[in-house]
Amino acid sequence: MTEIEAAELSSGYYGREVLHGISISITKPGIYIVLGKNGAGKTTFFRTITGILKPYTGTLTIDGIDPYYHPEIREKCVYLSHQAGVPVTLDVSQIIELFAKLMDASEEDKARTVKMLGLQDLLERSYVSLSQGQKKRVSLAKVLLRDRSIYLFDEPTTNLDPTVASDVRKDILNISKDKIVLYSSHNLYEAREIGKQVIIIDNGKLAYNGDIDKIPMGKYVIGIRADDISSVFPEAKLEGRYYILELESPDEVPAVIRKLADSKIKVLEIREMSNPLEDLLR
Amino acid sequence: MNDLLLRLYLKRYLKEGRAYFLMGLIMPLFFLVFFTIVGERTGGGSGVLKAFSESLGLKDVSLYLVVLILPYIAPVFTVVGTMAAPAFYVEDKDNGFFEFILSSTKFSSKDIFWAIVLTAVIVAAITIAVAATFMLIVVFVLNGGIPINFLKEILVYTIPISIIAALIGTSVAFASQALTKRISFVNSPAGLAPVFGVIVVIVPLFISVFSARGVLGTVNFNQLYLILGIYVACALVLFLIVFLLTTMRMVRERFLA
Repeated sequence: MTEIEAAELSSGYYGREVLHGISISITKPGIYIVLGKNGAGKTTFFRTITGILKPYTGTLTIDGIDPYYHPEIREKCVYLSHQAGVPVTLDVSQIIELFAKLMDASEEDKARTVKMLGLQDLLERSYVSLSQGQKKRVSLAKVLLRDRSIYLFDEPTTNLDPTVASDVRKDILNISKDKIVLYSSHNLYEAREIGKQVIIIDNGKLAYNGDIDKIPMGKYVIGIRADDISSVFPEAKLEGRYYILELESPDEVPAVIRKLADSKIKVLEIREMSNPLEDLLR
Repeated sequence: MNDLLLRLYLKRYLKEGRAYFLMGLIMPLFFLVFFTIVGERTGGGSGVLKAFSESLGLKDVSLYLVVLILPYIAPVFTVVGTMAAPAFYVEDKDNGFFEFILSSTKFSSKDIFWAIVLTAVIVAAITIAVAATFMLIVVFVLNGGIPINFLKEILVYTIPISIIAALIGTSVAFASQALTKRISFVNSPAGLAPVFGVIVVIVPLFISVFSARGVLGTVNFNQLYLILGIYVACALVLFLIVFLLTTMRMVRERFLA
């Protein structure tokens, strides 16, 4: 069984340390949510695991082997960054073909991946002509072409609409059996939806490693700048220019918007007033 | 170096870099036609130029412009023809393609570097081969034979400097992109790096023009070829230095967006 072991790991970019003394051992398959605010060091952690970044101090090993010096061990991992990660000028079929070659995938692998992600109708399209959701699916295809022991997903649902984000999460859940899946997010609610184990990184340091159920979940608070909404949401409190509304999770936001629209209330702005993850790390 | 990445970049060059490639192919042919016509109209020049043409072994001295100038400017077009190669590096770096390659495949940063540099070399080889072939055919047909000195010019200078200049232009682009600090117009995506490749091939043009005008004294072809040969060798050394600097500084984090 594959294992990831970090001991007093520090790494970063151009001599500037981003991760500070992280020690963690991942020995069992499952989905591990890597939580942290933007800039906390989640991407740096992933880049160090995949051997792109060299540890400044400490060690990082996969099955006892340092991925920075042993490229062959990197073939146990596959990493979906938050960027496209594909030559964007190619057609979808050319992209699938290219990554199949890069990943040593067979014709069956290609056909299975195209079917799994519903890419059949997009094969002749150029990548640049696709919607954000379609682009994300094509990007995801390269990760799913071959069976790997370790999957790393860096905020894979960022900038996706809720439906596409949910589909992407389902695809990721499908591959998680018997694999180590590291899934980074800055959304505690999303984390709760897909994983049981959580690794929280705060300012480059390991802040928490354990069961997500032990993390206290606060309310999700939004502020609505609008005409009087008390007829629709009597519980909303007016603070300054915003009506403050406490929700159980961000998933309830679309229903709130729908209700306001149905009541023909003019809404100027809806914003997140507090995030339980930020409260947790404060 | 794995040929998979090389094939990828060659294919993309034919698709995305074809404007540069076509420019590299067409420009020397355009000047070949242009110089041939102008040479004929001016009746083979006069004075030093006529003497130069005759001493080069031309029976038809109206080809003097083709023989005197084209072998020196053809490499400029070759370098222009390869300018899409560094653009691929910038594009793929910025959209995270290299990050995926380095994290999830067995390929290394050196594989990426060589794939792009060799793409530039292959494009340069094709463009200069086409240009040189047409130059030789035109001179052969109009002159009734190819003067040995003209052939030497092409073999000693035009072809090797074209390849070396393409290598230098692409490597300098890599090296400049690898600088930690971004400097406007130097290592920005549309920076000056490939111009180094052009500079390398422009210098001898001036030397040759001056030598033909007698600034360097009476033209001694053996001396000229010696100068050109030394120049090509110096350019090769320059490339090796750039190459060493590039590979030394090519840590993987420089391939990240």
